[in-house]
Amino acid sequence: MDEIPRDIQVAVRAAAEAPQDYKGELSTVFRRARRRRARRRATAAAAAFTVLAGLAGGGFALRQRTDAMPLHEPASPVPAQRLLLPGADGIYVAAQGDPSPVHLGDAAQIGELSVDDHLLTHQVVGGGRYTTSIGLPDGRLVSMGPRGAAPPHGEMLLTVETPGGQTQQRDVTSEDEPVSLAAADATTAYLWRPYGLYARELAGGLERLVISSDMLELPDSDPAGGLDAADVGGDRLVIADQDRSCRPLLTSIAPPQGLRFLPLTALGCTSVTGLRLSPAALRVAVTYRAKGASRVAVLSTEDGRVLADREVATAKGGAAAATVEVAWTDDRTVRGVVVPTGGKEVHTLRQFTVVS
Amino acid sequence: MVVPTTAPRSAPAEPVTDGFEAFYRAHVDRVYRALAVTLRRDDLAHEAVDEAMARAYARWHVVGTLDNPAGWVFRVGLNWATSWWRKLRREGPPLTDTGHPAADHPAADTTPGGALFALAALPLPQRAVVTCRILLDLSTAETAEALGLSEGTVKSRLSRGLAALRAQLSTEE
Repeated sequence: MDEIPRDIQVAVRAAAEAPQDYKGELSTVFRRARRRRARRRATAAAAAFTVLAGLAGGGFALRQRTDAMPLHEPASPVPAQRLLLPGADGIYVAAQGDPSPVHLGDAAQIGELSVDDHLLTHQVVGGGRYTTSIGLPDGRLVSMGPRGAAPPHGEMLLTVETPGGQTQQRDVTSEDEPVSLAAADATTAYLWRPYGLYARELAGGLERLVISSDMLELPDSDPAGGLDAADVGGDRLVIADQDRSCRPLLTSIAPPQGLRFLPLTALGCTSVTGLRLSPAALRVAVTYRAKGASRVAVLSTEDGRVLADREVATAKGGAAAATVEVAWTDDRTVRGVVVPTGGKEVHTLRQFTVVS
Repeated sequence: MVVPTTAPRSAPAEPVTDGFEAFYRAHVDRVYRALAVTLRRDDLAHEAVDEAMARAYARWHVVGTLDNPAGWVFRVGLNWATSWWRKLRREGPPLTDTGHPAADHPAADTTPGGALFALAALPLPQRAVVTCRILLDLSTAETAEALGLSEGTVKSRLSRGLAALRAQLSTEE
């Protein structure tokens, strides 16, 4: 049977009008092709380098095995991530630094615990209860918060503040739709909007969709509302969906495709509270709850293996009334702090380190 | 939009892209709709057609010489989308499978004349053949080439698909 009845042809053609219009652009295709070509070249170069290194330095590398780093690790040091304290709400003092207590939580400032254990504060323009802030390694602070009324009716402002005090502020609200800050790097802020995750150029404000809500099986109206945690690093996105919080999903955003789940169920996880990718996105630090305690695990993004896992706050020690913040010092070392919230006493912030 | 067709001597070689922009503008919407009907997910079809077009652009010196570049783009997009799903499913099935392009049960949405509902009830291979033949206007031979099947397989899938569509649409009436 090779002929197709006309009525079926008409019905199928009518069905093809049902999907929403194609919204893509030729420039997206070109960008995608360029990224693909660059990736293939990088892979080929890495393969060639690996072979040459293996041939030329094999013997030497074997003798130096104990000091050797895996070939996929970056040779040059990467800038350390900053340990901001967005969940802080109370009076704090750093364990080793300045003993003067600092009040964090309801003022327009955010706390940061430096590598040398000083509790720093940063003023956030228009900051407040609904503001999210991300500290970039170069010292800039990227924040998002409302101007005027609280969400969802107020304007949401994306603010970039330099260490010198220069401020760039943009209204990123679109038709009263929810928007939130997912992550940021030196050039780009990643925003959750109803249709998915968007990359917004910090310099020019140009936005593009990097992965849609439907591809991540998140609610189309407010994808961030369906998440327990998320982070973007390089071309990787990791999310903990509320429906399967303890099975974070790692995806590529260039091009968008699912890579693997990173299950924590074997560790007794009941919910994930935070995710942070290492600077080269080779590992992810996961803060999670298990049996009332707060724990931090480090997983490999290449195969999902658990590389480290430790308890950082016990159920008796007030884990339920504390948040845990983590940041990578380098691609193997993550530092963190348990931040108790509430109460009138002064909380002492003690850093911990997890090496994987 | 200017399509780069030549490159400075010092720059890395760009693919030969004569005619790609015209091809893209003429076919992208049709291929997208064919993929959306086949995959039953607009967003996945969008990503798939973008990815397939990017690959066509990168290999335009070859793809541009084919009899049916649109069929090639459709197949690459379809393979990319189904691989994406399979990869996720290998790691662990999602809680709901309703969006899976290979799901056997029809989607809950309805369309003019119930045709999308009827199409959704077809197995993915039959749906791909039907959309190639009707929406991309490919002949049996062209569909076979585009999907990498024998003509006999295309005919048999088309026959079964049309019979199921006929039965489903009659029921709707």
